[in-house]
Amino acid sequence: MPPQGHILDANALALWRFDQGLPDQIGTTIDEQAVTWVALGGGNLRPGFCDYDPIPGAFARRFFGALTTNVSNGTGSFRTTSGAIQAAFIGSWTMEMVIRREIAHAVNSSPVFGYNGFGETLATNALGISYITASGAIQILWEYGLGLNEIFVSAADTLDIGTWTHIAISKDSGAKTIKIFKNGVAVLDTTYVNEAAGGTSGAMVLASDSAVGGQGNRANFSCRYVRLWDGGTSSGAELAANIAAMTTTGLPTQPAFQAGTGHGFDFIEAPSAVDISGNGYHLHRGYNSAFASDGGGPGGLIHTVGPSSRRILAGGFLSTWWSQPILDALENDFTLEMWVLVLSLNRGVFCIGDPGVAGDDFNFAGGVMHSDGSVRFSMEDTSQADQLVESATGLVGDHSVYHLAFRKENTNGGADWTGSLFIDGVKVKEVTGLNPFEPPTIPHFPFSLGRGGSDQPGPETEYFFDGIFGDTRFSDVARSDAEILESYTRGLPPAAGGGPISIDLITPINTISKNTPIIIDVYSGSVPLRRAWINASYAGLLVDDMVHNGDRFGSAYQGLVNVRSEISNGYRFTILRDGGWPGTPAITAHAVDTLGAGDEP
Amino acid sequence: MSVGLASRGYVGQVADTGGAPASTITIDLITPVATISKTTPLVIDIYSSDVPLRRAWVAASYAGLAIDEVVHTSDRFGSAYQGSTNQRTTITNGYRFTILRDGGWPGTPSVIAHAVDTLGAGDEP
Repeated sequence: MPPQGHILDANALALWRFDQGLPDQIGTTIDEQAVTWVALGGGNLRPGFCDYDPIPGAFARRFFGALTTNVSNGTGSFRTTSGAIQAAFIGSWTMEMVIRREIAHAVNSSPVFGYNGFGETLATNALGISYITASGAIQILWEYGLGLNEIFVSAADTLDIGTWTHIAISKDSGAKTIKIFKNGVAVLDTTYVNEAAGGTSGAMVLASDSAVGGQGNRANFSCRYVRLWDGGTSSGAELAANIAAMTTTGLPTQPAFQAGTGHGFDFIEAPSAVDISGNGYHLHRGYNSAFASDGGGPGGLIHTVGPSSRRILAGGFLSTWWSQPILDALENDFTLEMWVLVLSLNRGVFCIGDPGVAGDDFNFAGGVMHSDGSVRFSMEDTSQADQLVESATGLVGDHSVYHLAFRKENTNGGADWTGSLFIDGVKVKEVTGLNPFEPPTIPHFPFSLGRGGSDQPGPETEYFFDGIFGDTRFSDVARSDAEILESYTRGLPPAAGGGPISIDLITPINTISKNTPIIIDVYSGSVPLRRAWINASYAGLLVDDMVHNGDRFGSAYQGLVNVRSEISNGYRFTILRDGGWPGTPAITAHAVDTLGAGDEP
Repeated sequence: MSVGLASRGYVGQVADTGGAPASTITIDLITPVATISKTTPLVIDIYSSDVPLRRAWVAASYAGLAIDEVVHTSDRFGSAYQGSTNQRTTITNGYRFTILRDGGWPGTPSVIAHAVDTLGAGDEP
């Protein structure tokens, strides 16, 4: 395996195919079911993106960045305009999570989730915020009037460090109750007086309280499942099924949203092919940092098309939080490789930069597929001039899959740099002598995939990528031409899709008589067979019978008992040699399916 | 110009899961059967247009014999084709079979060959 560069840290960026394992197998395949985010951390629970939690078979993820349900312009962060979620927080709601507290906090500064406003003069937009306290309790609060708080705290140690715990926080605006459940058992059950005040802006956030652009306070916990619905839960018994499901196989059913309009969201592991529309979003198997519009924007980000799949549609993007290692790499050497399925041209693919700074709006952006079929990336220099690496026209088209690589290599001691562009492993452009890169000055502006840069992180559709991401890797080295080519080669679909092929001898040979038909099932585990064929030989006979050659039965197997019938993705052969078996047959069967997988070991 | 995998049918796989592979299988009988003697080996080339073969197998029958013999199972030669003349050699994306029945051809052989390549394309029409 060639050098891959360093996995940076929890803030760094890697997009792995989770079911292909970790680094040695990256870059193997891209398809709609091949993407997930896993940023490999070094054990630091700093605010960042996510970490891989290798629970066998669970595909759990830990994430440490904030999640919001929408993007908009304004303050360089994200906020939702989802009136439905906002209304739920003013009224009744229940939040369920399987959560693990990672470290002890000296202060009550680990927010779990919240719907909180920002950038407003009246502090009445905290419609529901929860924190993990220093004692491991859950604290929930909301604001009313001029920022007066209703504050409730569960029993201490509701969340034990290092232990996965199902918690549910439920607010019922009818009964005016607030309850906190730990593994289905109420650890707080009380009433409240004042309803949350209605704000005019805010963000539904996980792992942040969103107070300052969603990035002021972030959390240190792991989370495997999250469910929000817009109704209060009256008892722990109601949560029993969810608890069992969340801690074993995942959420079995769609949340019972009161209005039935799909408000709220799930963050789940379990396959659940759910069509989403309108408000809210679904995060499958730990897909995180997903930002969806609420119907008023250009469209939802996450469109689930299968149990472990997603596609990124116009209007959404994936984003890290600010990452110094990424910025360091951008200043020096880096390679960004990605598989993309381009659905339409003239879309951005990635960017990082300062929002709202004239002439300095995005410091690094690229992958922009202009309608002329070119690919480019640019990096701003200290004079705020774009240093551009742009391919020839006509190299890419829509509805096609590409392996793109963007490489920066400092030269002359950092006095200048060389930029190179690769498409499908082939270098299509190299520019030398480019002026040094000027990193963003607003440090918490995120590195984004799925958008090409603009002066605000809002839903400017012309910059949003329209397509599907596959394996994506950001390395803090300038990978060689050969390594990039290998990345492309390794990313090709496997030589044999489909399979596995099974050949089941249904009739035990040692039990047959001279006239007993033998039944053999031959089938693929995934797709139809292209061909299956069977031979037979007999001790003492120097001949191998062709029993069936994939088209027809052999000359010695013309009796009516010989039948090939279809079974799922295969055939059942019922065979008897004409005149009966001349001896104990040794039967050999082979098959190849329609994706080229064969029965060989 | 599309330089992506679309040209190789992969986008089809993404889009509709199971698009037909683009490769084709060719089976060339290099030695005309009509010209052979009892001991003339037959040469057959079997190959894919684009990718390696997953498997290729050959059978033979003879007028008057109520049997189809296995010549090659895709793993090995059949019991009646164990002479040293019988060889399977690798050619581009396929195999060349050189075959002669042990003791010579008992009559004019009818040779049937099939193959499937690693994209799942077969030799059927």
